[in-house]
Amino acid sequence: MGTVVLENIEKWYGRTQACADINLCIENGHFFTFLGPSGCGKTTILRLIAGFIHPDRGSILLGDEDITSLAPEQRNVGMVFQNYALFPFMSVIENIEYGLKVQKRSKASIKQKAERYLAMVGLEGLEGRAVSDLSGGEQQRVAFARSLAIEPKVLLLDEPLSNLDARLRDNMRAELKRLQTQLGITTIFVTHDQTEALTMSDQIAVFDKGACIQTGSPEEVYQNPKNSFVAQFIGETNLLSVNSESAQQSTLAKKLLTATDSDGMHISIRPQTIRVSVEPNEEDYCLEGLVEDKSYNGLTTELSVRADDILFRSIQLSSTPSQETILVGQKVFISFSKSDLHILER
Amino acid sequence: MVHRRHPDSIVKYSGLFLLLFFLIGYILFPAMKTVETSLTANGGFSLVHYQDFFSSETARLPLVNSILLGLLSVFVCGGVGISLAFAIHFYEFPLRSIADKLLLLPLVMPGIIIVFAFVQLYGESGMVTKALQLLLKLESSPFALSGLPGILIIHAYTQYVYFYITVSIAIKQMDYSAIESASNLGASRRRVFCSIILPFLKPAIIAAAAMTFISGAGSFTAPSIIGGDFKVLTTQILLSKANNYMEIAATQVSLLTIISLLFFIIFRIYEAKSQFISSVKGVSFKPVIIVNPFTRIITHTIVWLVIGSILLPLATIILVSFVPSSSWMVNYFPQEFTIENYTETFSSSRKLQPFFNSTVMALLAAWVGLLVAIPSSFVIVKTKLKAKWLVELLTMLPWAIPASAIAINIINAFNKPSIFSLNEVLVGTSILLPLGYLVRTLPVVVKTLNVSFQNLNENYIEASKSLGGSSFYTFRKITIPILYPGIIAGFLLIFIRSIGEYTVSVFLYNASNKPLSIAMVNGIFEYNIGLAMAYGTMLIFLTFFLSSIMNMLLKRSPRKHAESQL
Ligand SMILES: Nc1ncnc2c1ncn2[C@@H]1O[C@H](COP(=O)(O)OP(=O)(O)OP(=O)(O)O)[C@@H](O)[C@H]1O
Ligand SMILES: [Mg+2]
Repeated sequence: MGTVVLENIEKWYGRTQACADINLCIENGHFFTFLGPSGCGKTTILRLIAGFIHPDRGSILLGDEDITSLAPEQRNVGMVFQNYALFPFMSVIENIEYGLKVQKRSKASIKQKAERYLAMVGLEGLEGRAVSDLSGGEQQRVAFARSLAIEPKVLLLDEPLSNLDARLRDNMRAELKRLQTQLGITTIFVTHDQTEALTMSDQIAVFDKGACIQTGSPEEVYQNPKNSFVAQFIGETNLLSVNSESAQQSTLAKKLLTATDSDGMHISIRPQTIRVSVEPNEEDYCLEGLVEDKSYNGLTTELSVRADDILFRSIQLSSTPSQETILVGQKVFISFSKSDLHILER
Repeated sequence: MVHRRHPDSIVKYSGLFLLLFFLIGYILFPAMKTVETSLTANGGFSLVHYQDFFSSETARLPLVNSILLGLLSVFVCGGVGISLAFAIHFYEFPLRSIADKLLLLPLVMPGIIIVFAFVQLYGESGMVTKALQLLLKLESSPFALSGLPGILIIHAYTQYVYFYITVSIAIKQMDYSAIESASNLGASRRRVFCSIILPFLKPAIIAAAAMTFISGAGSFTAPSIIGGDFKVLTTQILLSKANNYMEIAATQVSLLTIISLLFFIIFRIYEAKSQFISSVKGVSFKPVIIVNPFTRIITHTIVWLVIGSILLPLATIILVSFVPSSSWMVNYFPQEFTIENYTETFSSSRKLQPFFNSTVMALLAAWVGLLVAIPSSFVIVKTKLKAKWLVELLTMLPWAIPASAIAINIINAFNKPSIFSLNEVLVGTSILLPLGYLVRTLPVVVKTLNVSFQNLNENYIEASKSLGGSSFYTFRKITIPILYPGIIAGFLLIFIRSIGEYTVSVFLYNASNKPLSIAMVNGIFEYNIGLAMAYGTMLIFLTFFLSSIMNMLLKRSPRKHAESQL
């Protein structure tokens, strides 16, 4: 019922292509995240689904219905805006009741429903407040309650957490996920924050320059990035460019080239899979290098080691025994196994 | 790639065409007609009117006087307005909001009323003047409110508001942390003022100076009534018009307009130069406490005295409206009170006619004004049309043209048939005066509405639609509630500014639409002072009542409108 399908969607703004042949299927009840850098077209797709703009090509299906040319008010798609867009001259409860009044329900049912959603976002007692007298986090909750109250088939969220400070953002993240799971509502969430994407989503779609590069579960996207863009955008990584030219300068590149038997590729090695030790060991790959930088981040410690003229970053738990003794300027060995290498499409 | 054609683009462009037709026809075309008239002699192009003007000492002098009056007004009003803004908004001030409201009164009160109140109080046989004479046992009046000093006093009283409003707003927006950090770095108070506070306020001060110069140099009401031998361009323009020397009037108007525009542009460039981008969102300003109790008491006393002197003239008008006109022949001070001035006015349809005329014309100007201002603001704020700058320029143009010039422009444009007058001669008809009111108030109204349209964020409309509201429902429940305070306020603004308007009225009224302000002046010159003051009192209450409604409405909208009310 809440499944959203985008087929061959294209959207142009004058000469800039905001969406290039997008094909997506967003399963009913999923928490689906659009992730990508600024200007890659995330908002545009959201607004296409909401119906504020129309695609130049392709079609949008919601459930079994083709909604491509339907007006926004006929779609039953809820949207939470980045700036919340709460109606400034209405109180909290009037904002939440707005969509219910449109549906011409009975007075009693409007009141009951609005109060239920107000309670759901934890704002009991603030019914009569002017929205301008609320804190950022409270405004956020009103915006959620207002969109949820109409019980939409799909909930669209355009960077809803970006206006909150870090602490509040963490709280709202958890609460939002709780609400979504509780209601089982199909949710499309836009962000350019990878942590948000990885922690909350059932599925992630990574965008770049108007195109959808990869879709998959957080684990899939993180562990098997399709190309160097995805690898760099999601999580930290060591990216090696391996080809006949670099093989002449670097013994590691040469070894990798012969091992994989191809003529050129990018290889990604996640920092947490690189071990640093004082003594050499028997891993598939083991290189000698010099520690250039060390930074302690509480739970983890990050080391930058130059080996084979490449700067490797390694992140290990601070409690790993060898970590404490390694100092900047020291000679060390870095090692990683074959299974930690990810060969990327170019 | 498929291009979608907007089905409503025909509506859009014909709307824009109508708007531009109006703005060009009733603002630009009249100004151009005046320039053309001033450059025409014996049916051909000629500079002879300008040559005559500049070769005659008596013709030149009023021009010099006008510029002088403009500049002096800037200094006097700047002094008064900036001091008041500091006293009330920079320092802690008891009853700030009441004092603030009272200080804004001269903005809405018709100028003609204030001039007469001053004459009643400080004129040669004014009540204050005579009281002083008796007190000091002088042979003759100690002073007379006339000439350049007289005009300047009235300007100080009516035009300080520009400085007061803009500087007050700038003070409130000042970044308090900058002041604190400067003091923290060891700067002396004087240094903090010169290096921190002044740069913050400079753009506001310059903007106010531009407005004050234009209204000072183009002032007509005060010079025409108490100017005496001090002749300025605006009064000369009326003389030329009365003698039907329209080419000379056109020349004088062109010169006055050019000077206004010139100063306007100079100030604008200067303002742009002193503009700065404040780095981050600072700490909002908190008023400073005057520590020295002596200084504090002196400051507060002076401010309340000023406020008292602002209320005094209005109180005088109301008082005098209850005094029989005939008693002024024998007494300097009112001895008896009566309501006969009012009963007389209300029982004679002839005497009530001016009130009726002004109301009808102000209403007409307000309705048509909205019809023009709403689409103009919409185009300026909400569209990316190429013609947007033209709409903005044309709606703001009357702001830099003195009222007398607007009136002459309208006469020059409509004394012959043109497409803008639907091929009729309009001079002599009653339509010109409301048109003049409209043109004169258009910039203020467009500015007020611009704020409303800026409040109308696109996201509100989208949010409403995504909640299921149809276009019509959204328009009713979201668009109108956001716009309506600005729209009603705009309507009232045109009405208030028009109902007691004097300058445009003098130039454009005729026997069948004599407005209230002209009836007041006639009353005075016919020694029917009581009647004139009864008109004045009605005007004061009406304006006061309507502007209270207007302020209430503007306060309800999220963004501050005060700035746009100028
Ligand atoms: N109304 C518009 N007119 C013209 N170009 C637009 C318009 N809206 C978006 N674009 C362009 O389309 C592209 C995609 O914009 P979009 O807003 O979808 O990006 P985004 O991924 O949401 O970025 P951000 O993370 O910064 O919000 C950008 O290049 C943008 O400049
Ligand atoms: Mg966006």
